[in-house]
Order: sequence, then C-alpha cells, then structure tokens
Amino acid sequence: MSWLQMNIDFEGQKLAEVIYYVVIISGAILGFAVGFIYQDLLLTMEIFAGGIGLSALLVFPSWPLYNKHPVRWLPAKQVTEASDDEG
Amino acid sequence: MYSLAQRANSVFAFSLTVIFVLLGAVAIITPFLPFNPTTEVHVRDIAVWTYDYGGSISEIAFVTMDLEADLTSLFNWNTKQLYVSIVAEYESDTYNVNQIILWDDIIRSKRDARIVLHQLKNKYIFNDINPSFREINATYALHWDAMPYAGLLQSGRSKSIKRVKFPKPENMAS
Repeated sequence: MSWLQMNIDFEGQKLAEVIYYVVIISGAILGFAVGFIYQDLLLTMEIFAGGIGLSALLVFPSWPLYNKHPVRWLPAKQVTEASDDEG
Repeated sequence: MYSLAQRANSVFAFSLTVIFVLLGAVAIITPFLPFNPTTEVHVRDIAVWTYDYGGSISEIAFVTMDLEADLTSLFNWNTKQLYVSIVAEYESDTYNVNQIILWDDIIRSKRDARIVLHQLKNKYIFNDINPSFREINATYALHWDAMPYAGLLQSGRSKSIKRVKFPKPENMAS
C-alpha cells in the first residue's frame, strides 16, 4: 500500500503548503468578488469549492515536482566493532 | 505533509478556517447593501362583530386590505428568504404597544417578491386582550424579516403608515 501514501520530500512539503495556501485563499477572494458582483452566494461557494478541488488536485498526488530534493542520507558507517560504536 | 493522508488533513482543515472567514466577511458586508422596498397597505374595510364565548363577550375585527409591495431589493446574495407580515399596531388603555399579525407569508425567491394582493382578508383572528377595541385608531403596516444564509436577521417595516379607526360593533351581543 506504499503507493497510496504518496510520500514527498521536505522541499516538496514546503512547496505543497504554499501552493494550497495560495489556491484556497485566492479561490475564497475570487469567489467573494464574483459572488458579490453577481449577488449570488451559491456562485461564491462553487468557486471556493473549485479552489479546494484544484488544490487537492495539485497537492494530493505525489507529483514529480515534490520529489526533486530527495533526502541524501550519510553513507553507512562501516561497523567494525559492535561494542565501541555506541556513541 | 509527508503522506497523502497528512496533506488531505491539512487542506481540509485550512479550508474550514478559510470558509469561516469568508462567511464572516459575507455576514459583515450584508447589512451595508442598499435596499429600498416599496410597500403599500390599504385598508378597504373593517368590520367589528361581537361574539359570545360562553359568557365573555368579545369583539373580533375583520379587515379587508389591498397589499402592494415590491421587496425585490431585499433579495441580495445573502438572503435565504423573507418573512413578511401585515401588523396592526395600536395603543390601548391597558397596553402602550399592541401588535397583532393579520396576515403573513414566506417569500423564497426574488421572482415572488413583487406582491400585489387585492381584497386580502386577515388570516389570523383579530381581537384585543380586552373585550372591546373601544373604537381606537390602529395603524396597518407591512413588516419584513430578511433571513440570511450567514449573519444576522434584518427587520424593517413600511414607512408610510395610515391610521384607521375601529368601527362600532355591527351586532350587539345577545
């Protein structure tokens, strides 16, 4: 089931957070403006829901963009003597 | 944010925050939207009859009215429905303010907000807490309550108000 976890790296997490902030807030502002102009609150809610849907589409899957900076682990130490290496 | 479940949680939690702010903004801005409803309640006829309810004789009024109102300007983006009522208001010896709803209606859409009703009779019983109206004057006005999707209820009433006197009872109780 690991394919369903859709893990992304640290830089990708930062980027994904910025993306959904921007998309949801601009969906709300655009919805407010359009709904106010057309005097239709349903339109506001639809645009806001569209913003949520778009951010879900952009952020939920582990797009390759979010995995450009894979964590580089230090090379494994050569374990010579098990008891000395406690650290 | 590492896994899909964490991202989904973050997105939905943030959406909830934003929708509360959005609806708060809608609720705050709605009272500042302009409206200018026109209402006209014309009382054609009032008849007062006395009835004997097992010993206590009381007067009951029967009103015939014409109602013309254009409430379309009360329908803005945040109006769910309107509750409109024709209210008779009078000052009696016992109470300074007496308000009696004669007729009411719920208007759910802007299409229905233009009301023209002729020969409208009072829907609810019209009698005073006292047995008699004592031929005092009463005003007849249209009141409205605009119920919003988000925010506070807004109320108002028609500005031009006419005073009409209760007539003498047409029958004397036996």
